Amino acid sequence: MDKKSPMDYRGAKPIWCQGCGDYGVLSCLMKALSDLNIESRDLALASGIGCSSRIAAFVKCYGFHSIHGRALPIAMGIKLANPQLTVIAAAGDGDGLAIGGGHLPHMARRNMDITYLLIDNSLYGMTKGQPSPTAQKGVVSKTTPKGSPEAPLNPVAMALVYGASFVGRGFPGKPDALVDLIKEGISHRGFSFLHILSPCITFNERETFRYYNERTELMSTDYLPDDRVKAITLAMTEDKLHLGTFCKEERPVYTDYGTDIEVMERETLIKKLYERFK
Amino acid sequence: MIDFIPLNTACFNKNLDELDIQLLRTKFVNAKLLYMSNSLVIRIAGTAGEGVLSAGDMLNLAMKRAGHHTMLFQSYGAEVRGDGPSMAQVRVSDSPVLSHGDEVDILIALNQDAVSLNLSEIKKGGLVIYDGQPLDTFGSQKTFTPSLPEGIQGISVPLASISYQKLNSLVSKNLVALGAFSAVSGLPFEIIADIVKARFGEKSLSALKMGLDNVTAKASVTGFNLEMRSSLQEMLILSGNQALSMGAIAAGVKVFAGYPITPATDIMEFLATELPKVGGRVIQTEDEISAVCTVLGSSFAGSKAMTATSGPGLSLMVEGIGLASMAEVPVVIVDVQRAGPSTGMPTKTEQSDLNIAIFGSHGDSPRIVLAPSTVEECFYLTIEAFNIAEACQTPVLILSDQFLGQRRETVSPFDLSGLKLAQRLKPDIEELKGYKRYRLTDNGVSPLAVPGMEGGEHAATGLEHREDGSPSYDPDNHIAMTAKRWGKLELAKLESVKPVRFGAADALIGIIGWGSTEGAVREAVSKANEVGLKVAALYPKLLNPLQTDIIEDFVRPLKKVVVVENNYTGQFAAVLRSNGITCESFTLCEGRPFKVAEVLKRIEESCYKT
Repeated sequence: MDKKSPMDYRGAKPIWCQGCGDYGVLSCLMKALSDLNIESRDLALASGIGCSSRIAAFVKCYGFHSIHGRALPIAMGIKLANPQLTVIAAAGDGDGLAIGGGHLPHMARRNMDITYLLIDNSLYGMTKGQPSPTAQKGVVSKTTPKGSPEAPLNPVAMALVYGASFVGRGFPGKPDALVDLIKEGISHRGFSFLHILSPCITFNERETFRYYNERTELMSTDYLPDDRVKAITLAMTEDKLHLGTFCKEERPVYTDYGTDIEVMERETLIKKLYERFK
Repeated sequence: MIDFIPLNTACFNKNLDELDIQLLRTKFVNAKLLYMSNSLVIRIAGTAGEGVLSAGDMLNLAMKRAGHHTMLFQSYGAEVRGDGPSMAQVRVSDSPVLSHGDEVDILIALNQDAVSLNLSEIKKGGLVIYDGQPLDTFGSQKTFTPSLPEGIQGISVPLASISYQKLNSLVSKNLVALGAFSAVSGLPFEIIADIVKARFGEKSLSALKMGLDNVTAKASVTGFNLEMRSSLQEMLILSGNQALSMGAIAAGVKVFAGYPITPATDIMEFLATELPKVGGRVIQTEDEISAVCTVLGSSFAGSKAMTATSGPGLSLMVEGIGLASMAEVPVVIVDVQRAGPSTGMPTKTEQSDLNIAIFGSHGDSPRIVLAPSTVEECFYLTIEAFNIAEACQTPVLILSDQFLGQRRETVSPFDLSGLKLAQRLKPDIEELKGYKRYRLTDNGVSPLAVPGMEGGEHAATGLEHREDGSPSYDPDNHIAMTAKRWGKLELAKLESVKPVRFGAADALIGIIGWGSTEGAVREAVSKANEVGLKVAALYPKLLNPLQTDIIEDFVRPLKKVVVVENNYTGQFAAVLRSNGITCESFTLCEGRPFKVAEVLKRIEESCYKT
């Protein structure tokens, strides 16, 4: 197998605004894929709708740019059909936490072997800046002219409580850590939830690169991601947003179940069924 | 001159590896007259929790084992336990049973209310087996003598007292009743005893036996002989949902995703046990949106995939259906219809999802809609659904309903020898050089690469796209791609199963229907033909796209066309009218299937008014 380079995963030319955090996410993803030497033909990337979801076409792979909120079930279907594939799901914060928020807990409790990139810019970029589920309370926009009365979600804490077997956070402003996180997430056998902070330079004046550069810090090397309760406490009390792996747990994945059954020909099964219904 | 075409259809498909899309050939086997001369209808009635449905199920199987063709129809409330009338009706005959039966020959009433509730449907000359010594809520015995109209015979069996006093429980009332029925009717006791033993164990036989011994007189009801015959031993008793599930297995389904919903849940339950045995997977998803998207993902990854639901679930799935149309992903979606709208009447039958099946989802989103009429067709049309989905790379919907999905009837073992399964068109090595997922072709079908194929990488998308899958807002491209997607329906129209015609060759009055109404219409048409009424009927199995040329040929010589369907607004009639077919609408919206007499009456009215 030839050693891959990040450019081997170049798909269609991205259409994001110049300076968008998603470019950094894409380049970190391509670097992680090449480091892991994953074949494009064995990689599936499902996404929903929104700026970041266009990523499915920008990576050379079997991409499925689907409908709003449904990256996870599409990815699940792919994994169920062919567990040998590397399956990644990508969604924005509106896509993955508002309209598609109902899928997250179930993917976590199934421990479906999917790497989920939750690419968070705290607003709806494609519709020009309305507040998303991670927008700060009080944010003023065209749909919240007097300021949003809604409190933001804490995606890392949610994923931890849902029982995701791998939970981490990354930021393309600190690319080496993000590449490592994506590699670790893909290599983890189970559902990997990666909260990725990706500033919108067009509509978001608050959560900017500078804002996150100041407010993020790499997880201390002393931190061991083996304690879910400790991880939840950290996620809910952190002054600075930690980058790295919050929690990691090895346990059987969904597709491990039901594989110990003897498989027969379809016709044989149907003829056996005849006996039951006579 | 009566021209009958049989129910039995089988799909024979050529392999689609080459671009030749000769996909579906329907073979009509064993043309024989379908007419029910002699039948007997037994209804078991009671309250939810009294074992009405299980007694019906056992009686139905016993009838088949005794050598009779049968159909079991169930009607029950949404509550699995608790108050609410429920009934199971078994109709037996010498020939295949076409409908559930208009009138009851023998009523087995498990409680007092069940007598009065069902009395009006008992035939003159019929029989009621009732509990003459019921227990009140404090467990003390009362006496009950129903006032039966003249000509209806009553047989009292102390169902509750035997069950409670001798067996210490009321749960055996249904078994006592079955035992009594065996004595009354002459249905061989050993047959029913074998079934009860297999289901509830040796100890349950005492209830059955006490019911048998309690009745000494054998009644002659209609002259229908229920004694053992040797025929039909190889035949099966299957529900529509079971046959449909077996069809999916035969078609090679690999992934089933679904969410529990009455009356479609049986399909997921059946496949959950059986599909893993052929290497497939069943997943119960968090909702129907997830279910439809999961099957889209599985199909994208190269597996045949299916979901099954009922109306409320289908409402949630329509966005996914649009995506399957746009991204050209083959999927099969089953809708076992129930009475709507909204939650409606979950356990009651209706055919009111035709509009959403054909038109649901925004934009011009092509899809194929098939409607089986019988349990047997549930098997063959499911295979056809997969074949069309794979060949045309479109979503295919199957419209069943509660009546069809949950009724159980005798069917022959399926003909597996001639089955050919369509494979989706895959790109060859040449095609994979500069692969274009949505390449424009003559018939609209583009070779479809699946993960694992070197060079086939692409992005499937719900955005309008160019041939290579890249998004495009160009008007000429949108026209070309829309035409491509719709063009594939022409393929389905040409190659799919053809409408079934039955009735007088020189008919002046025509009935058009779809799905589960066919049996009652067959009986009504044959009775009408018998008395000289020139009536024929046409049952298209492909409801979208319509094979309008065949329908027009049928309609051309007719003076009047009546469209029979189980809904309020006449949804299929509206579709036919929009295709230029002039027709009247005859609808029934009571949550139950048509009776033969109702259809016959409408035929007579049409004849006289013409």
